[in-house]
Amino acid sequence: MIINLKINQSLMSLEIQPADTLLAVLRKAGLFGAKFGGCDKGECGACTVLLDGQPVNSCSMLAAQAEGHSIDTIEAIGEHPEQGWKKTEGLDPIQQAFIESGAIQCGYCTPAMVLSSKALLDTNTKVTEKEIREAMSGVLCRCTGYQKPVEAVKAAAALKNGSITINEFKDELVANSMPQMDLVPEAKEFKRVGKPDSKVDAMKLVQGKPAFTADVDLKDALVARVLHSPVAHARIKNIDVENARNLPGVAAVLTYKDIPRVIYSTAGQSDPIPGPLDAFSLDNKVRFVGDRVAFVAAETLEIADRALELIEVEYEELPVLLDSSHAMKPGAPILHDEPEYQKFGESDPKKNLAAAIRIDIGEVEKGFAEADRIFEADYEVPKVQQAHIEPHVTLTYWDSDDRLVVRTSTQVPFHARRILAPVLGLPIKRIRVIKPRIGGGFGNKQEILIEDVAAHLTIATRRPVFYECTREEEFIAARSRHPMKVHMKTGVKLDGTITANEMRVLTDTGAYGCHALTVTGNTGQKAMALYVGDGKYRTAPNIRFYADIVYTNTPPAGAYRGYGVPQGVYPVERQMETIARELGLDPIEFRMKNALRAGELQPFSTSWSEGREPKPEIVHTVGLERCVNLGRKAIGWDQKFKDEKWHEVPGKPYLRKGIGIALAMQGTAIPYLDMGSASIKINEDGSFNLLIGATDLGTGSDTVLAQMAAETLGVPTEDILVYSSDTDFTPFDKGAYASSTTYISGTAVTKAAQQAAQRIKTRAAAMLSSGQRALKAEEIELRDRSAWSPDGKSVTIGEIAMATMHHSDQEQIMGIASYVSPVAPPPFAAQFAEVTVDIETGRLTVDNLVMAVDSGVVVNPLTASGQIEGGMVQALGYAVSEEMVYDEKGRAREKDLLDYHIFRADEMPEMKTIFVETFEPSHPFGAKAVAEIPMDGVAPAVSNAIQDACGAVLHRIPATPERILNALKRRE
Amino acid sequence: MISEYHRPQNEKEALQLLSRVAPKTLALGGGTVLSKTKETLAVVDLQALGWNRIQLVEGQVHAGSCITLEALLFHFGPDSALGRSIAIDAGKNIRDMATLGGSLVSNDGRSAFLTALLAADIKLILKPGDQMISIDKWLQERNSHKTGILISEIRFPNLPHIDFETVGRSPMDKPIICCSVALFDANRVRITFGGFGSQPVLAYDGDRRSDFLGGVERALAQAGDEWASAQYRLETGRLLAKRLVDKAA
Repeated sequence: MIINLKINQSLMSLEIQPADTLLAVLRKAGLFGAKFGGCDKGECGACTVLLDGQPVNSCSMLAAQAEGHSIDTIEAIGEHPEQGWKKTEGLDPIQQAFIESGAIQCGYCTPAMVLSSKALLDTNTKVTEKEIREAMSGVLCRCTGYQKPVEAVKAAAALKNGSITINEFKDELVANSMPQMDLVPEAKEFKRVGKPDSKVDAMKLVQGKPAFTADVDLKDALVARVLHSPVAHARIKNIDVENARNLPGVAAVLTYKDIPRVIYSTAGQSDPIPGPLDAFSLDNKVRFVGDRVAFVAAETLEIADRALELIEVEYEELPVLLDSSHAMKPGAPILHDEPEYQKFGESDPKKNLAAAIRIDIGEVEKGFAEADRIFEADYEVPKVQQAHIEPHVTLTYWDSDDRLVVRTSTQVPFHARRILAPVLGLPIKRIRVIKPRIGGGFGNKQEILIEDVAAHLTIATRRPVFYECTREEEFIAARSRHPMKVHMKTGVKLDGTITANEMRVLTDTGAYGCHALTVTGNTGQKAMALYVGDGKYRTAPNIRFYADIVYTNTPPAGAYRGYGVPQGVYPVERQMETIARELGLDPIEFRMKNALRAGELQPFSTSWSEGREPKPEIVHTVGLERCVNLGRKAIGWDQKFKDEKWHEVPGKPYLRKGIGIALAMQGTAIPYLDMGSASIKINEDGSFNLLIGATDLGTGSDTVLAQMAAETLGVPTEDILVYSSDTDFTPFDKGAYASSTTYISGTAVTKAAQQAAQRIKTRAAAMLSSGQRALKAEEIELRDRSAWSPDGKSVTIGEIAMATMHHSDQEQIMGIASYVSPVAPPPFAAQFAEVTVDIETGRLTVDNLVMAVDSGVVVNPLTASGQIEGGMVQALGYAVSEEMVYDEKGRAREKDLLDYHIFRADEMPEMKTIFVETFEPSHPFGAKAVAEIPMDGVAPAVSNAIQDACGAVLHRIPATPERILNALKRRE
Repeated sequence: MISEYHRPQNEKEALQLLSRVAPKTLALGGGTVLSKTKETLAVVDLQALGWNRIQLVEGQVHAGSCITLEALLFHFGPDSALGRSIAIDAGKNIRDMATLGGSLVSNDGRSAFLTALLAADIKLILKPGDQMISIDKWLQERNSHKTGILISEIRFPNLPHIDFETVGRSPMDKPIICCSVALFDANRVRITFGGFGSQPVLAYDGDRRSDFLGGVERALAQAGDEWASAQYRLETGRLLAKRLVDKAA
């Protein structure tokens, strides 16, 4: 049918099918600002457009419905103010505010948020925060925690209604979006490091430019779909694909019979993979509901879906193993009986054991014997989903050199290339992986999850193949956080000295062992290292960490921001709370008495290094005490904790308020393993191209790397043009995980920039030398885009570039460097939570979250605080609402973002971020990691606050109303 | 999958299309549900019929079935019981699209809004014939697919009081259990529960001074599912009902 749509004030005549959604039609027309979130019920809102001025989900509306209405997309809202000789009206104030306030992280939902805000401000510029949040309630954001977007809209409203001027606009934005900073002296000297520079990719993201994997013209590409198993455990007795293959428009149908049987691990980690190899692209056995059965490539999505229906599969169902507690019992169903299975370490497929860890530090039994009291308890933490708004998405094609190009939303482009090569039967040199912008990953894209699907189909058909997961596929067939059952045993003296601490973990890795060993290793290595004990135990702590990581017939777990640490911090911090309360000790003083201090050994550094040889490591910077002091002041701990009246809500006797704390320690990269590299070259105008293999998945890492280069070269951040990442053009980087980019890749960038700076200084010295004295390079200072001699003469970096490229002794000034760290300096945090509990229904409201973080020197306080705010909200979901549950046949309860509830803008608690800086000596600018630590403390702090409110003792999250009520009954 | 799209300009044309036996033809409200269907369907888009108005008639709100949830929320106010229940069911974007009629057709027992509508004892005007039926009857019969029928209007009684409480995992989560209580005159109350099942349940319709808890217990005795136990819903439901009835009094 032909329809006429008025899009961005232009009338377009389009031929469509009745079933075409408005989103599909817009994207086909080249308007990529509206994004696909994979959802089936319109719950994410990434596809927002304005229909007659109001925000609607273009994925949930037929294109035909929009005829006769006015459609506005992000492309019509604003644009770069300078297009060469042509000047434009520039960005809308809302867009400008999003850039200046740090409201953009991955940017996938940014166009939707901008449009929703525009609809609000077009009718009313005197808006309240509540109204802004309600206006944004149709757009889910997994990165920002909504705090900075709300501040952006407030400032844009103020500008539009005249209560601030354009000159006050930026100051207002930065002032309202900045975290509280407790600076170290060294950081005050920096010109660019430590400054709230705008994200280097913000301009394109706020305009909805085609920056993401799917934002390309796909008219020649086939569409891939995967047939997922409906049963949890079975052999494929027979599979008949003839009808599917014969369906017009189907280009290929692949089963395990059609492709090479290559065993591998989907985990995107360095070589050798520290875990078992136990997966095939396609197998004759399925191990969970959602496992792969067949791949289809067809001309359209509808044909591909129809082809899936035509595939006939006869399953020989096998007994199902769903409870990790039964996995190692005699007679349990065995998931991995394939002869190709390759063990790593202690893995034993005959016992469903993917990995095992046994670590004893000190003399644990002696420590227990020296204790006055022994505390033991069991805890349980759930399987949860990363829920990035951009689904997994990949486009593969052969280029003109017969090399396979994989354009994919991945955190690990280099690992992807290496791991794909044997699976596809190609040498590494014939694969090129391109990572465009990523719409969030949080670990789930540290996995070679779907690249092989599209690649196999491209090999089979010789055509480009596009594969984009649905939200349901993200839930049933992607990765998740490992659920764990944890037993804690702690020996304590009556004065609060911990004499020994033991954690025994049973981890459920699901059907495959991706990240099985390393995630659980982290659980012990970070969470159990924080409390070493006091007195003699401080130098000789007694810590035991035993873990079994077992297979079950559930979707595989994998990497998820925090990487095992949130699972460990919950039981440790609940255990600490219990001990403090039982012994009548102040919970903060008890924790600080036993916590690790600067100059002490990271106790696990002699026992664990992600499956590699451990080496002892001293922790030099610990800002924990200041974190506690500033955090308790910010939340008003001293006025609330012991005040019985504060715990009551006047007129509502069924409500009780509570306050809680948890401490956390994370890591910064993997020592002696994680490698990042960078190359940088000067351009004729004194700008620089910075090429990095590091992958900014929305965190702002491109920006902080640019800031470090700018600091070194004496130029503004805008003069650093960052390109990341493409395995053909950028140097190797292990990828975005383990909180390593600022620290590892940042050091590599700084070293590369230092090389370039050295050449610039050498050339500047020659240019600035007078007849009397030849200047040395060491005497030259780079600042303000110029090289300065001691007597105040200067030459611009642009002039130096021009001279070195064109005028004399021509050379390309550039630098290239890589970096591996011998240490992994941990960030620390104090997390506070304030809650209200309805003691009659168990209904919980989290009112306030305060997090004080020692991340070393903060390179960019806006992007870093965005990490903390967004991380706290993800962690809040872990605390109260997020959980993946399966029925007795292994079928998922959660398949969308309604049942799997992530927080909306209109239901957020107050949040505050405080940075307590330390200067980490192993980093050129004193930085440590920031991205993962906000995941750790919220859940235990909330559970501790619930206990403070009403005495309900929870050992399991999420803290649902029924669990809270049951805990209250147990107390009674 | 949608095989045909129609946008009739009047009621007669719409009813004719909806009277067809084949292809299966359904009315399209905002499109939030049917636009994603995998079933082969023809759809009849009602947007041109003018059923998107809201008016006060002798103190009663009469709302066209195509009025959006956002318009209803605006009318009743975001802090009203109906407004709050709408906001829990959907964020702004969906509210701008989804219609009142569509909600009555497709929302299940986990819908906060449908629970509140059931308590409010709304009446539906069906075309053809302007037959007025209660929401109770509508919910009983809505799954028996009848061709050639349309909801044109919804009438809200002039209530002195209606209230709503929900318990979820977060403030705007789908309810694990929610309760709505409407007071019709000095003493008549209707108590409804949602958060489970295929549709909300009417637990009590009678004098508020009588023992309404018996009705609550009957309504919630078997209300267990994968989200909460029946025991939890029963205990919590009793409390919520009592709180809201006390407040109404």
